[in-house]
Amino acid sequence: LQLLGATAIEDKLQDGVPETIQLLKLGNIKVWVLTGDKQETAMNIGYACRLLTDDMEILEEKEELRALRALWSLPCVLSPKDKMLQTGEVRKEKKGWPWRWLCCDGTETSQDQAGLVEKAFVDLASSCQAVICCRVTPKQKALMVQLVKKHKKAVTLAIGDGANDVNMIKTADIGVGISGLEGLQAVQCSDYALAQFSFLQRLLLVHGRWNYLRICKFLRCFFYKTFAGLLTQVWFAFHSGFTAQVRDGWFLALYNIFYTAYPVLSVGLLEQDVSAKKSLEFPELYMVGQQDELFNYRVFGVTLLHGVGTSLISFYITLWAFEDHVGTKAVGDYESFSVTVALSALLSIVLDTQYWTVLSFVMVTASLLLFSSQIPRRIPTFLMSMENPGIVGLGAKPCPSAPFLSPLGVRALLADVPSPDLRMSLQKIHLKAKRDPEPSVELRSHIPRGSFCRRSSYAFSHQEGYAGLITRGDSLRARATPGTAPAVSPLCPTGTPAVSSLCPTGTPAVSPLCPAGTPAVLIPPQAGPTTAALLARAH
Amino acid sequence: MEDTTSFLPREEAKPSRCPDNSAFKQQRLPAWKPQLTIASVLSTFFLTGAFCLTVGVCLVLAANSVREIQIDYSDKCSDCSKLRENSSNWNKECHCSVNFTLKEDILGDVFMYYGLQNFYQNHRRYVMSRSDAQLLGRNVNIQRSYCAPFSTYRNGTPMAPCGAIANSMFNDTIDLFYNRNSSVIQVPLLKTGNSWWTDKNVKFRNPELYNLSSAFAGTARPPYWQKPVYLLDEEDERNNGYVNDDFIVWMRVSAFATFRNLYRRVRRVRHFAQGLPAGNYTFQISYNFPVTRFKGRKHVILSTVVWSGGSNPFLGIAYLVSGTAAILTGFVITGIHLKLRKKKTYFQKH
Repeated sequence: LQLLGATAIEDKLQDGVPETIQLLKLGNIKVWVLTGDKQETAMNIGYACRLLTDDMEILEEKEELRALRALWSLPCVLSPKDKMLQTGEVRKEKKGWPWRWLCCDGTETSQDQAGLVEKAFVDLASSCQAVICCRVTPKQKALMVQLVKKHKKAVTLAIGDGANDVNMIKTADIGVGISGLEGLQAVQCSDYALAQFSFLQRLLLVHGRWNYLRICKFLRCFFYKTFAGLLTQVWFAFHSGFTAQVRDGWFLALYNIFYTAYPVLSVGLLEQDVSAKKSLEFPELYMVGQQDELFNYRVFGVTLLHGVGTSLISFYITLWAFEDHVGTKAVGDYESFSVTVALSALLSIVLDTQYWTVLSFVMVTASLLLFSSQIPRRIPTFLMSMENPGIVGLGAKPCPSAPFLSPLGVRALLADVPSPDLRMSLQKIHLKAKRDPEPSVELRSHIPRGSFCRRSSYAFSHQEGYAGLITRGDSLRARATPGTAPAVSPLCPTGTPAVSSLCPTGTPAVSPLCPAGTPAVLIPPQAGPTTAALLARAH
Repeated sequence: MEDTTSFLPREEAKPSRCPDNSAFKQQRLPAWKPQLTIASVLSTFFLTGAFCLTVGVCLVLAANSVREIQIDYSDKCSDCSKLRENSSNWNKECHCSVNFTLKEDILGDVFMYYGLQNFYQNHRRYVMSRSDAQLLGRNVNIQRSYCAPFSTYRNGTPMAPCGAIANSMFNDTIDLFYNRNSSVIQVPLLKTGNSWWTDKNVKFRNPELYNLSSAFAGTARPPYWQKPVYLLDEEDERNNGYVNDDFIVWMRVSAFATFRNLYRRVRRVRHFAQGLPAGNYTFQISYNFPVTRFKGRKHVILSTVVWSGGSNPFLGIAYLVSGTAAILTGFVITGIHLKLRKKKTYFQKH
C-alpha cells in the first residue's frame, strides 16, 4: 500500500469553550451535549472541552441499560444518591438502541410504561455530571429538551448555531443562537444571539444573575415602600372617625409616580451586589437564583411585615410626639402632622441599595425635594402660591424645627438602621446553625483510567473505518434492522439505521438536565472534531 | 516568504452595532458600596445608641422643666354647660369662674391655650368645608366651593366666612385674674402674634375697601356666630376680619380629636415682667361653646415652652428607648460574633 496523502476537515473548538463549560458546571448548571457526531468524536469533544474528566466513570451503552433497568423496575423509588452513581459519572448514549432493548423486553407497551421509561431515563441522566448524546437528529434534540421540561422542574437553555439546532432552540425555555459561519438560522429563531460561545458565561453568570437580583430587589423595595407609606392612611382612619386621610388625594396619587418611583427604579436598573469580574470568578453565586432565594413567599411575608412595622412606627411616633403639643405658635395641626407623617413615609425609599451610584443619590434627593416642594399638593393652594411667591404651597412654618424632625429621627432609627444589620446578623446565625460537620478528607486516586491517556480534540477513529465500504462501492443506506418490535416511545424511532452516514450531521448540540430550577445549558461544541478520512488506495 | 495573497487592512473596521465603552453603558459606574463589616455595624449601633441616649436625656430634662397647669372647666362650669345644651339660650350670657393656685413662680414666657377633647376637627367633610379663595378676600362664588351647607342663607346672602370650620369657631372668652393681697389684677394678655406669619400675611386677607364693614357689605355672619366677622376685634384693625388671630388659629385645623390651640400670651409688664408670680389666680370664662352634645370637654392650659416643645415627654422617652435598644442590640451582636467566630486552629509542625 502506498500512502498518497491524507485529507482532513478541521472544525476547531472556539476560544474559551473549556473555560466556559468549567464555569457553568461550577455554577450548578448541568451541561449536556447533543451532537450528531458519532460516539468517539463526541467523546473526544467532551474531553477537549473539559466536560469529561479522566476521573469520571463513563456509562456506555450496556451499563446504562443495566442502570435503566434497575431504575425502571422501581419506578417510584429513585434517590439521586444511588450508590453506583455516587462518583461523578458520565453517561453516553446512543440514540435508539437502549430504547429498543427496553421496549423489546417483553413488557407491554403502553403510555404509562412509556412515561415510566422516560422518567427513569431522565432521572438517570440528571444524576450524572454530564451527558453526551451522539447521533442525535434535530427532531430528537427537540424531544430531549421536551423530555427534560416535562419530567424535571428545570429551566432549559438551548444554544446552537446551525439550522439543525432550530428545533431545540425553539423548544427550550431560553434559546440562544450563535451567529457564525453556518448562517443565521439559529440566530433568527432564538431569544438571545451571541457571537461566540464563550459569551455565554457573561450572559448567564453576570447579566443573568444581576437581572435576577435586580428584579427581586425591585419587587421587594416596591412592596415595602408602598406598605410603609400608605398604611399610615389606615392607621389615621382609626383616629379620624374613619373618614379622613392624612394627606389629600394628590399625595396618594403621586406617591407611587413621583415621590418614590425613581429610587426604586434606580435599584432595579443599576444594582449590583458584586462586580462583573467577581461574578465570573465565583460562579457558585449563580445558585442563589436557582434556589429561588431572593423572592419567595417567605421574603414577601417579611417585606410585608417590615412595611407594616415601618408604617406603624411612622404614624404612631409622630402622633404621640405631636399630641398635646405646645409651642410658640400653633403646632399639632393637621397639615404639620400630615407633612411629618408623609415625610417619614418617604424615608422608606432610602432602601437597602447596595450599589450607590451618583444616579441613586440623585434619585433619592430628587424625590425628597419633589415632595418638599409639594408641587401639586392642592391646586387652589398651588395657584395661590404661584401668585404669592413667598410660600411654598403649604404656608409652612420653618420646617426644620426640633419637634418636627425628632420623630423622623426616631423613626429612622427604629425602622431603617437595624434592618440590614439585623438581617446580616441573623443570616450569620442561620448559617452557623446549619453548618454541617466537617467532612472527612477524601483521597481520590489519580490513577488514569483506560487506555486512552492522551486526549485530543481530533477524533481519529480507532476503529477500522469505512475504507472497505468505499472500495467495495456499497451503498451506505442501511437496510431495516430485522426483528424490531414497533415501539411507542417517541424516542424509539423505527428503523433507525444502524450505520449512519459518513459525515456527521451538522454540529452537535448540547442539552442540559438539571435539578429543580437549575438552568440547563445546551452548548454546541462548535468544535467539530475533525473527521479524518483516510483515503487509501488499495494496491 | 512574503504572503501576497491577501491583505487585511491594518486597522479593523469597528463593528457598527458595538455598544459604547462608556461607564454607564458597560455598567461600570463608580459607586459607593457600603460593606457591612462587623466593625461598621457595631460602631453604627453604638454611636447611634449613644446619640439617641443623649438626645433623649436632653428632651426628657427639657420636658420636665416645663411648667404646665391644665384645668378642665367644662366640669366646673356645669350650670353653664347645661344652659348651652339648649340652643335657644344662645343670647343669654353665662359666666364661670375657675380658681387655681400657683405654689411657685412661673418664670419665662407663659402661654395660655384652650383645649378641646373629643372634637374631631380631622373629619374629612369638616376639613374640606372652607373656601380659601374667599379667605383671601376675593369676591368668589362660594356656591362652587366645598362650604355647603354653610355657604348661603335662604335669601341668598352669602356667609362670610363660609364653611363648617369657620362656623364652629371657638367663642369662649377667657380672662385671667391675679388675686394679690386683697386686690384683683387682670393679667395682661396678648391676643396677636399667635398665628403663623404666612397665615396672617399671605393666606388670609381681608377684602380691600376703604372701610372694613363696607367691604363685607352684602354678606352675613355664619349662623353660629354672634358677631359678624368685621367685628371680631374692634380695637385692632390688623386683627379684624379674616386676619383675626383667633380665627386663623381655629382655621388651622388640628389632626387629632384632643387638641389645644394657642389663645393668649402673658404680656410681661408690671407685676408679670418675670412671668407669673406665685399666688391665687382666677379664670373668668364667658362660656359660649357647647360641648356636652358630643361628650366633649374643654380645658384651659397655662404652660411655658422650651426649645423642644412642651411637657410631652414622649419624644424623650422614645429616644431613650431607641438608644437603649440600639446599645443592647450592639451588645447582642458582639456576643454573637464572639461566640460564633471561627477559632483559629494552629497546625503543629511535626
